[in-house]
Amino acid sequence: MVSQQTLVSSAQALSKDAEFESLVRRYQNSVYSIALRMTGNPYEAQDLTQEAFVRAYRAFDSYRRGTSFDKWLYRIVTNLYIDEVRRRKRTPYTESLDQPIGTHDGGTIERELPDSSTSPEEVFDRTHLDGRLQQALESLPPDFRMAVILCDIEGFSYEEIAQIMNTSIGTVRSRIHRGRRALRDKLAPYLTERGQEVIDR
Amino acid sequence: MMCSMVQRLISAYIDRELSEDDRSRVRRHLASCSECYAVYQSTAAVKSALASMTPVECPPCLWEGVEARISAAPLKAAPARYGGERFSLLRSAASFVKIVAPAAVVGALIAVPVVQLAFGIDLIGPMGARLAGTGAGSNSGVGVATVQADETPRLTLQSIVPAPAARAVSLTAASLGGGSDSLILGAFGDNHLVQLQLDPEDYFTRIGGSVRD
Repeated sequence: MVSQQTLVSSAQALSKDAEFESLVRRYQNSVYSIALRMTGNPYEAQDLTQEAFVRAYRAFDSYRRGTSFDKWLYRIVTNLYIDEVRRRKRTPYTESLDQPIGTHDGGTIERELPDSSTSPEEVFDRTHLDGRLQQALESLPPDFRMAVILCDIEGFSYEEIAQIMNTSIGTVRSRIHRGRRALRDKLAPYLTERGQEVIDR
Repeated sequence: MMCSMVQRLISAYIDRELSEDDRSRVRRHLASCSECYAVYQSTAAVKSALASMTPVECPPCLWEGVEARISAAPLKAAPARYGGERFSLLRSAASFVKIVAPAAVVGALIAVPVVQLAFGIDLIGPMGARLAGTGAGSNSGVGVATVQADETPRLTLQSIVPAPAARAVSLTAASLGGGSDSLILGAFGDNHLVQLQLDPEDYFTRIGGSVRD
């Protein structure tokens, strides 16, 4: 016979799972969007998003109901991504792409590399501001990039960003200032019309 | 206010994150300084361009991936990395491998605790796993197998218990701990087609089986 306690636990587990699933479905687009803007790569963004949700599920009991789930989630995404960047820095991949490949008999083979200046993606990006913006975002240090994404793409206030990134408002202000300054330098030739739109509003 | 000071405040000014005093100081300065006004314009342009980036939608299969992993209980002790080399290699092939248990070798060894059923798992590239079965097994059963994480993983069935004749199964992986991942293989045997799904962490999370008739 199944004890009442077991039934209660099962019901709680079920409702927890159902609640979690509905939260995932509600926030998956925005988490994925942040992940894609951070990584610049759909596969990596999907991995990051899924990993963030798995972490969130594991820690779901520690999440306090009534507090903002999305901010809690974005904090997980931020930490995961920044940890991953640090990990990659510790074990950098150092093989040079234009270094010839050694063969068994001691000879070498030159790699065939696409000419990046004329690749279709490059041509595409040159004509698409989104591609330019994404490239520029990726050139920022991860902390600056995340602050700018949370502010400009997700529309969070400095205070909210400080909570998500577990830092002070002053640091957020500085990251956004320096992040935008770097973006401005990279993007200046492409942005005049858009800027005028903002000012005219 | 000095230009350098104003330029440090321009982003916060655009974001309406300044005190009223600072805000009016910056506003007054911008009205009279063309250099700072140009910085303001280009900074506002950056913000505007970012805000108008094309919205993205997550892939439709995203929840399924999360669900598969959170239902794989108990959880793996070591936290998984989402990134790394294994990932990108894993992506290079299909996410399903099919195991066809050879009908000819299926015997009637139901309820033998350790069955002579050993699969050599043959990794074709980093992703495609081919399970070549030799040995004998029950017509239907659930077994627990261990994948050793060495260079040429071997998958050895450790035990098999009789199970109701399953026409379709969907089982999840469990962790045995001790550095090896275990699988539950379902309903392999005569005429059964079993599918193994490799998850991004290089171990199996879901095995779906179905009858091929």
